[in-house]
Amino acid sequence: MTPYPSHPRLRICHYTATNAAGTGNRAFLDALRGRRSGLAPCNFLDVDLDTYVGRVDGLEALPWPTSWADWDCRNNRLASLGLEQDGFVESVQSAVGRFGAHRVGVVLGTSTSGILHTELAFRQRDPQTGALPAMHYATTHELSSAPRFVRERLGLKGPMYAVSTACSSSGKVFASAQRLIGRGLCDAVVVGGVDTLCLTTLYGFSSLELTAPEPCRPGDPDRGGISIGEAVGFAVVEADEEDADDLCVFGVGESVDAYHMSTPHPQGAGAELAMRRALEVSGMSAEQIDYVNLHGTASRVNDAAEDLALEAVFGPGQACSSTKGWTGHTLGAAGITEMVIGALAIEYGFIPGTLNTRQVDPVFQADYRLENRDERPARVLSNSFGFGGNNCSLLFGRKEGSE
Amino acid sequence: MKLAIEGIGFVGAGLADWNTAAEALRSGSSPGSLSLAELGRFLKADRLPRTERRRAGKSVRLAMTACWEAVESSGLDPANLPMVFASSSGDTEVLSHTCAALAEPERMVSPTRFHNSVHNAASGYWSIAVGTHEPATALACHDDTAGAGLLEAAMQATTGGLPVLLVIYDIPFPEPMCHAEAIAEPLAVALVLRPAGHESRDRVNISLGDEGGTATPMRGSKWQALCDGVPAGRILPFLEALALGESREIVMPTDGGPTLLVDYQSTERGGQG
Repeated sequence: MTPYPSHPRLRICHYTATNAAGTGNRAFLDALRGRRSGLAPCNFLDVDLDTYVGRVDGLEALPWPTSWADWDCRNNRLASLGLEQDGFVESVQSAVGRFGAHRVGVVLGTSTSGILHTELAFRQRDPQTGALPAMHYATTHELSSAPRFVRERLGLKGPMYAVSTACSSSGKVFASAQRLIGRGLCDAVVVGGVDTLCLTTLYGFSSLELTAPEPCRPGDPDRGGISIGEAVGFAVVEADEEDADDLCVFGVGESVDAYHMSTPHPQGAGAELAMRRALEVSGMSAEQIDYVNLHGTASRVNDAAEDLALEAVFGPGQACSSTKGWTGHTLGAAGITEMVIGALAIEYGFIPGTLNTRQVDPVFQADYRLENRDERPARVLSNSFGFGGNNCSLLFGRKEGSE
Repeated sequence: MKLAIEGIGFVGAGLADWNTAAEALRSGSSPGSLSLAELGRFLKADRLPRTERRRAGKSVRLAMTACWEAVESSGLDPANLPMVFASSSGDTEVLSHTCAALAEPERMVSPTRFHNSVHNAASGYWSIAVGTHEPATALACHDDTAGAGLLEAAMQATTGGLPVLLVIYDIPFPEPMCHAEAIAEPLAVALVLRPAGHESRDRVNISLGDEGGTATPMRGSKWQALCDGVPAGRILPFLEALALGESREIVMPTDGGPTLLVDYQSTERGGQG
């Protein structure tokens, strides 16, 4: 078999997203264009935190066949809901028909997977022995539970694993897919990510004093922290065909800060490196990027560092926005969620602004967009940065005019 | 994907380093056992900044100990090595303690415990210790984590044309989680993999075969138990071939997916395994 070039451009054949702002691409697009936020005061379980969350309604009531009982957890319920949208299953079946099930891989990102299942099990410990009730760790909490579930649902037989690098997870899955296809091990890969609300992230981010008491306001001088959201998204990627003007991933830039476990480098050095690497592997210059979808969590340090990184790469005035005001920070699902936002922007001809933000921090140098605009970007860079200083920049768009 | 092995690190099963483990594998002596409580004295964290040293959990120090040995024996600068950190469940102690604390009325999760709970905690601490800005990929695939890590690292090395640091590691869950997910022993294996050139001595060719292969067994029953009892242990048949200097194809089947084939060609003894 002839191997593809080592960093092949990936054709994005199909994509779908589900989050608090919308179930499936159509509802999500309507919320983006209509500027309707999915954030609401936290009403998740008995959580007593003064914060807003991006919660997907109805997961608890989702019909769940008894044959899937072992897989039953909030994370796989959201994965299942996401799979059912936008004809995604049919598009995977098309890939299977062309290549065979063993040539289609699954790589999904997550930060906490089904940990809520274990958190709730700990509430039911035997008061005498401390023993946990019967639980299904491998098919719920374990990090590859969702990609395994998705692989079973789709009847795939290719390589499968979970990437878990906190909030950069579902950006980095595109790099793994590029390698699987580039090394000739797969012809198509189902990539994406899923993360759901759980006590670990809600109370953990709260202990770091990073959760805002209001809907998050990215880039605002008075930004008070993040809103946590839950989301799922998937894409089918294949090796790109040179002559077609399809939506494709040009390149993925990855780096680490080597600075601090939970605080980004204050000058955004790692973020800058990830963006530069994405441009370099794509063979593109900064001028070719029409829009940057920021990591933009609304934490004080992240947004300031990211603006410095943008200035270093693009100079002042780069068009950008953060869409966390619609979805909340969806952690391990942020990369795929924001790739879908960029894809919708390219397909439908708009650049989303930033929701909830009243004014842009006056020290910022980027063209930080607050209002939506009817402009069609051709090439989008999407940033995802995580704990452990783990950074990923995804460069994607249409090839037309890019060479 | 043709690779050369540039460095090996090992810690676990009462064996402190790769030389000790390789000698045990060659001589046919059984691996020992090491409880989570005793693990600390085998681990090095002295190259971490003091604040991080205090904060790093046992799984982090376990992975880093194996990484230091592999990197030192490779003679390469760790600041230039992309990293693949593969662990089935990451820091099981932190996860258990967090879930237990969240079931208490106070729901106290300290900032340090929270950032230690991410699956890429070990690669984060490692990158700080060695000052690298190269990409770090943390992955998991339950009992097939070792094969997934080897696959990802092989792809990274051959795609980038540069050496990559791979570490495969697990620590047991404490009570009561150990009954929901049994991991027998703390174990970490680190490898520095380089795309093979003609001059390379020990060469490995990694490819995918059909579903349903039969896993290559270990020679001794205690070693087989370690291989079966720890997800990271699935890499041990490959280490056995390395220790013996015996050319052989190691078969690593995955649950419901392709079989990873690790074709090891030793130039040390040249014989067929």
